[in-house]
Amino acid sequence: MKNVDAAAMAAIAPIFPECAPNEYQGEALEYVTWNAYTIPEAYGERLPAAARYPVQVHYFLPNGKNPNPGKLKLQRALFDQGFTWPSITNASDSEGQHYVLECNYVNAGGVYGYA
Amino acid sequence: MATLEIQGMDELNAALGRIGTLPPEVKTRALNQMADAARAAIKRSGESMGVRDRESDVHILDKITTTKPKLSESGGHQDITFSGSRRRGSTTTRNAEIAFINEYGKRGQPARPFIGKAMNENEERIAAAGGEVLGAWIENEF
Repeated sequence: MKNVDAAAMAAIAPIFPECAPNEYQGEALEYVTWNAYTIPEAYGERLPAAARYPVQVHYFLPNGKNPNPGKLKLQRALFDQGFTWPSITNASDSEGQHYVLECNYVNAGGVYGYA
Repeated sequence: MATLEIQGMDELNAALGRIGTLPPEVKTRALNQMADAARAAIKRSGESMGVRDRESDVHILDKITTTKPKLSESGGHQDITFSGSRRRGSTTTRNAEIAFINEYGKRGQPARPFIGKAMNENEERIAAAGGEVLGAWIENEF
C-alpha cells in the first residue's frame, strides 16, 4: 500500500503534470496541489494499527475555462487509487477558479507502516 | 455512566416514550455543551496550525460564536460562525471569509484546514459533551 503522497501523486500527475504536494511553485495557471494530515485509528495496546488521512486536493485554473472535465477526472483518479469519492467545494475568487476536493485515504499497514 | 432500570414491557414502553419527549431545555443544554466543545476544539486547532491574521489586532479565533440552538422534533442544531469583520483601509472583510480562506487556501496560500481537523479529531469529545447532559437527565428522570 502506498503512502498518501505517493497515492495522490499516482492519481494526479498523469492528468495534471503541473502538480505538487502542499504548495505549487511553478508558473502554470492550471495546476493541482494537495495537503493531508494524519489521524491514528484502530487502537490496540495503545498503538494505532491504521492511519486515516483527510485530504484536500486543490484544482486551480483560470476564470472562464470549463472546470468540469478536470474535476471529474480527478475524482475518478483519486477513487481508483484508493481514496474515498471526493466531495467538492468551490473556493473560486476574482483571481481564478479554485475547487477543493476532499476525501480520505486509509493506510492499514500497522503503526510503522505509514508516514 | 447513567443506568436505566425497567421492569416489564409496559415500563420499557413508558420509559422509551419519556426519553422520546426530551424536554426542550435538556436539548438546548446538550446542544450548547456540544457547541462549546466544538468551538474550543476549533480554537485549539487554529492555534496549533498558525491561523492568525497578522495585520489585525483582533484574532479571528476569538470571534468564534455560536447561534441560538434551533430545536426540532428529532433534536436540533446550532451553527458555529466567525462573527465580525476586519477593516483595512477602505476594505472590510468578514472574519468568516478569512476563516474560509484559511480552511481552503487560495492561489499562493496553502490551506490550513483547522476546522475540518478539529471536527475529525474531536467528534467523540463533542458527542460526549452532549451525552453527559442527556445521561444526567436520564439518571435524574428514572
